[in-house]
Amino acid sequence: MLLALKIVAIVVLALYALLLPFFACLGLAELGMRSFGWFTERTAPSLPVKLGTFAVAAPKFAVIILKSIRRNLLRSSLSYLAIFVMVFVIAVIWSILGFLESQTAARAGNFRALVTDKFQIPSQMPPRYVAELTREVMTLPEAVRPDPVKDIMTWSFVGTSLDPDPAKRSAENIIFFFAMDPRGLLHMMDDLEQDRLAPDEAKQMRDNVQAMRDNLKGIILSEEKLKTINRRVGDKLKCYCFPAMYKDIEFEVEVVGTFPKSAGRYDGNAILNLEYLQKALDTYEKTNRKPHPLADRYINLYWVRVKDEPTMMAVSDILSQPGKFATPPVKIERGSSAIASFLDAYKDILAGMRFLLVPAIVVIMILVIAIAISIGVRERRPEMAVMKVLGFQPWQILILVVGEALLLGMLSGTICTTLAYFAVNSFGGIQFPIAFFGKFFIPWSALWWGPVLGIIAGVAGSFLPAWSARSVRVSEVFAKIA
Amino acid sequence: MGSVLQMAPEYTTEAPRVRTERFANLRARFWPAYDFNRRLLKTLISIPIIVLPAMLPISSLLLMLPAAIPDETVITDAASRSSFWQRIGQRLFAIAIGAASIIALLVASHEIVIWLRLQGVLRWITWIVVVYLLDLAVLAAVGKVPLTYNLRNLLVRWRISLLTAVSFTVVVALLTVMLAFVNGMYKVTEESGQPANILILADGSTDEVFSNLGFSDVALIETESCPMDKAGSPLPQRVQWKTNEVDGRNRVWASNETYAVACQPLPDRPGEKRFVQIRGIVDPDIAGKVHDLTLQHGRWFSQAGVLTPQGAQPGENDQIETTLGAGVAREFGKSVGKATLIVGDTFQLADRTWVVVGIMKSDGTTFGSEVWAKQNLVAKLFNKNGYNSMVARIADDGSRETIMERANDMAYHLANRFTNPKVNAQTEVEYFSKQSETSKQFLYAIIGVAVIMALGGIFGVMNTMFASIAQRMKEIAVMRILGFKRWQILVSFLLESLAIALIGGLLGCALGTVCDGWSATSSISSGQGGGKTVILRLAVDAKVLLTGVLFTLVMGRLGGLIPALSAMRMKILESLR
Repeated sequence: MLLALKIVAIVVLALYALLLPFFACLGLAELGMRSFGWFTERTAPSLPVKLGTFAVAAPKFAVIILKSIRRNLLRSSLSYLAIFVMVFVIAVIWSILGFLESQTAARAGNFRALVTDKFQIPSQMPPRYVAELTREVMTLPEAVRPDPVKDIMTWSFVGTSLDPDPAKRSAENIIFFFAMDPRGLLHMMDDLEQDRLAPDEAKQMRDNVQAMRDNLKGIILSEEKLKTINRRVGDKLKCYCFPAMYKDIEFEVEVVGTFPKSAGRYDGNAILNLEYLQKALDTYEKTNRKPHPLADRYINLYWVRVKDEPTMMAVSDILSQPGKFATPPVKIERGSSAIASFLDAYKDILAGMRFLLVPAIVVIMILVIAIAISIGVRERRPEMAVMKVLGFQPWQILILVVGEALLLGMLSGTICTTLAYFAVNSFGGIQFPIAFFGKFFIPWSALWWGPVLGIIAGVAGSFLPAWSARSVRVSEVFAKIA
Repeated sequence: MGSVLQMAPEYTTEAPRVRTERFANLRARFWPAYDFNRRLLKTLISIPIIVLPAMLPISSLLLMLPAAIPDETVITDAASRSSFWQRIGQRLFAIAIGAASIIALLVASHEIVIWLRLQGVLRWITWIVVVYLLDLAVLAAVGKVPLTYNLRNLLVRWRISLLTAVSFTVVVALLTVMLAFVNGMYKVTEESGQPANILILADGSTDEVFSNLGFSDVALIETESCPMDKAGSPLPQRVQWKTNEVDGRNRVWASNETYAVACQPLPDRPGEKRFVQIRGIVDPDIAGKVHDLTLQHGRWFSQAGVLTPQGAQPGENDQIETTLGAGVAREFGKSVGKATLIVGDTFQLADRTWVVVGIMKSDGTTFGSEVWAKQNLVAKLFNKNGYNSMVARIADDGSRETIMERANDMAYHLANRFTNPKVNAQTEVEYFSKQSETSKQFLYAIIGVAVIMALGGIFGVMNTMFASIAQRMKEIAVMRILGFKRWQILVSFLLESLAIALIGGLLGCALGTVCDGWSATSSISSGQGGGKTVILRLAVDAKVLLTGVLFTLVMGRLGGLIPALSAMRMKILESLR
């Protein structure tokens, strides 16, 4: 019973929260138009005749459109809600597609190249490759030579659990680490670069990195992960590696910091000092008197930021020289290209979202608007006839009807994407696990394409009913009434 | 007390009235939208309250209505005056007969479902659909509902009815396609596992790609048998591996496999790559038997695993023989402008030339997306020591249930009692059912999207029905004067919205059926790392279609009930005015 009451209360509040901005916008728009009309009526005489006439007529016209919307508020509200939810789905889909597209698109000016095992997934390279690759990269001409600290980074993926029993692994105890030199966090990681962060967040990251350098066992976790495992900064944890990855390796780590709030893409991730992983593998060798099975292939990715495409090609040439980097052979590619390869498995799903789901939702939006406007036009035929008698031109009636739908669509789109932007992004994004991306956020651009989408649906859905309204025959309508 | 009231009537009636009017005037001045807000709040509160009962069969809902609103004359034209206790009794009676009618409908529908011999999810969906259909049949049979009037009205307002129906068509067609995709993913994971097969991975591994079994480990496992069940009680007959006699000695049905995921540049899109799943097999004949795979074309790769091209010396430019899954053959074919690769075709992978010697009949399984080749070549090429996994079959005589029980015992035995080496063993069915974690996530996402799209359809049909009712207020009043009861008006309008929904929904189902058999690429995983790319076929089956119909009925009911209730509650005189 209590649950049912809660559901009822939530639905009522949600509906109210969705409808209130709509009513507020309508009210404010009418107030604005009326004030503007009052102002133009007083200033029109000082304007040229045509401009003055237009200035007086336009706000009046807008007020008629607004009145048409609030004439049947129930219908307008239902149409608004329908378009609202549809735009929301499209906003979510486009946010996902847009983000993935941005990740797979080559970006000028931030040319990060990725060196990995040429053939095999997951890539596993010997640790000696790090020094050898860096040495080779340093042979580039000085003008294009990368900085070994700021432009080079290596990653090793380390899956661990807080529970030693593999059977008890769950989201509540799994921590997935990127083992790396912490200095790379400040220069090489998307959304964590110093110049991209707000000053306080940039300082937070600098402090975190310093803490990791001071304390080899220091780790950085996302706030979300900390919450999931019910720990806080300063806590010490014992992490047991997945036996399939780093069998018999354990880490005793201390949480020294969290990722900045604005770097939501790192939710669920963690950073471990690569040096600590190396030491753990050395300790294993000393204890067991044999190297760890992964001791010779624990480097998964080697990142290097190069100046441009020719520099990348030059690096590629160096790496493919006979005798160098042969076991295993390596390849160099753009980071975006590597991500695109991972997304290849999802190509049909993404194509379905883009070419089937989104167009179908737009069609439904157009139909909903067409239904509402058709009903309105059908009900108001006598009114249209009177307007014609009063001197309204057919095109003006057409604009009145199209304007009503356009305004309805625009308001729905604007309110939806604005609310979605703030609500979704502040509640931690949309969870949709695809490849290694888990969360997506509504981009700024949604604030303009949401209204545009609503306008397009409004115009497309109302054009035919509007055409029928402009063709109303006065004599026929009055004959029927008589 | 009475005399005081008589002496000062203004304190009893006039004064409050004046105060109320004054308050109302003030309110109207400072809060002009009060009435609208009050109505809006009432409507908003009523929506969720109505939504839940709207899912009940209409006949039961009608019988129960007097329990909530005893003063409404829903069933009869006159509400008799009754005492407090009588009203309580009436309410209880209404609840009782409403509940009885629900039970009767449920039981009758259940009988029909049993008679149809349906199983699993399909059984539940059919049950709900049959309940709704029976409910409609009961209403149509019992009541003198003016159905022809409603149908005629649909034709008179055909444009708006058509637009509304089309929106239902689009929503339901889309739902059908999306469900067909998830259904295809589930089919892949369901059909890939054999009930008698045990999949053995290295201890702690949850996925083949991260597993590593030594050569000696698999030899030890092949000699193992299971003497006890999970509880530790001795089994009447040990669970043993299935064997067959080859060259005078017993051979265990076990396939030792090396699994690798390789990166292949796309021949038709320079600079782009795809991931290819390669399975190195020791003995393709045994592996085919264990995985229940046969050849569609060609042959299995040879014992040597390589083919020397004509004119070349052995060892020089040797091509790796491969037997492809049907799905991956199609994908590779697309890249070279063919429908599918055929026997004799070659492709480049890991700097070697691979020649297709056979195509497996593997559609609908994960193996359809794999490239099979000789194990030692794959291991050498991808720097793998030992095997990644071992799949072995237990002696599979008996019913499916018995086999699965014995397979579970064997898997438990290997995972918990066999320690030399410690391994992670599970039945293949269990392994693939864990791999459907991604399918579940997609299913949840699809349900979310479908519900939101359905809201669009519901608001659309609500608009249509509200407009239809607003235009026919006088007609409704005339019908009431002619003797139609309130419930008949409700049912009449509800059926009208359901008719629009059903026409659109059924068309949507029909349209969605077109996608049956389409091929699509996706990924399955257990959500703990790893995962497999699979080439699946979209599957529109009875379950998907019935879900579409159910969705249509629910949308039609939700969209139609509130307008129908408003039509039912109209007062005759007010409507005529």
